[in-house]
Amino acid sequence: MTMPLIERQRFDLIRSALAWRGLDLTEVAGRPVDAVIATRFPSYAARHDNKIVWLIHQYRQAYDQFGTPYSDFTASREDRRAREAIAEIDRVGLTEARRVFANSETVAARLRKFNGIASEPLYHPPPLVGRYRPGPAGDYALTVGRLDAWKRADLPIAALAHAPRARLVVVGRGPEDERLRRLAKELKVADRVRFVPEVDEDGLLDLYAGARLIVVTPAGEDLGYVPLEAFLSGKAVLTTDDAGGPLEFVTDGETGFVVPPRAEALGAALRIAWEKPEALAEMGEKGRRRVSRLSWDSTVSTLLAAAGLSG
Amino acid sequence: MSPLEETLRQLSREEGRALAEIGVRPGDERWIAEHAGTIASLAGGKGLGSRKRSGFFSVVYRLARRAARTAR
Repeated sequence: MTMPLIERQRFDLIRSALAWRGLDLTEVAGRPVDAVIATRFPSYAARHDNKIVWLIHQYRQAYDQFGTPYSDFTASREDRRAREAIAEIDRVGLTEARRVFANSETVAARLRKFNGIASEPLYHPPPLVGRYRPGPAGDYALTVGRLDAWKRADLPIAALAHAPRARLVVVGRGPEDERLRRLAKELKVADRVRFVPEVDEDGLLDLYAGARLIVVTPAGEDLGYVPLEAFLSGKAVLTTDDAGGPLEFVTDGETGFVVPPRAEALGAALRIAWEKPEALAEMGEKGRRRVSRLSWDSTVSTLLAAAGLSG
Repeated sequence: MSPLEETLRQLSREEGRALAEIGVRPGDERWIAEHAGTIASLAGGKGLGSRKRSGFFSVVYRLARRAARTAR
């Protein structure tokens, strides 16, 4: 079940947690509920005797993003209290769970650091698992994701200024859209960037299959589907050393390139990809082998076993 | 006390306890007022005038604040 998380004002976060807390989940439509598996803030505030948490992400603006341009929390009294209340919601909701998983080591480490709560990484495959396919490398690098500031799609665009032969396809839409188009013009690389605001599933699979490599540049991603999708499509990944979750799969020189989050460094890696493309297929294949073990069967079995519902 | 009034009182007690559980403190007066406003709005239907609704807000606010103080 889902409920909207409304964020017009700080109290809305509390109100949302309260809504989850107030649910009676002992039974639904006359049938007892064996277990509750909660995934996101604040759904894990829900009460149940057999609650498992599989943490996809916390309310990061109150934690690691606080004090960065990616959080609108200030030092005001209300914002400080809101951050304390969010931490309390997390403490209550997570510590009363029978078992806590996280969808990556990055998310588990964050939970350990900010809340002192232990959890076990439990990975899962990307949404279109079973449909990704390798294909001949084309003449473009691909970046995929919502165009939010913290996803830093400006980095691969700026990198083009340092890699004259490289081309880039940017899939996604979001608040950064206009700024990114402006940036491409200012840097005189607009003729080598193609923006694709929307694409259907088949179109996305085609874009992955035809890419030369995939570029992943978020700041502290939780897990990130994109590297997994890239590897399942047999593509190498170019990412940054502060990307978070992607670094759990991308190894520099083995399955891709890991560089500092600077346009020059990304540009240097793009130059290598265009001048010496031979290594990319091997990197992509190594990546594919690394993630091919991920399956929903395995993930769901682990969750059900934790809830005492296996077999 | 009407059934509606009794229900709202009970709801505000229960919700006040839940508020305290998830970290709201008696000093968080603005949040408690917001919450009281939400519950009091349930009394906004037919049969209750604005004075009565305003009175309800005060009652719910007091109950929620007390619950936030005593639940932990």
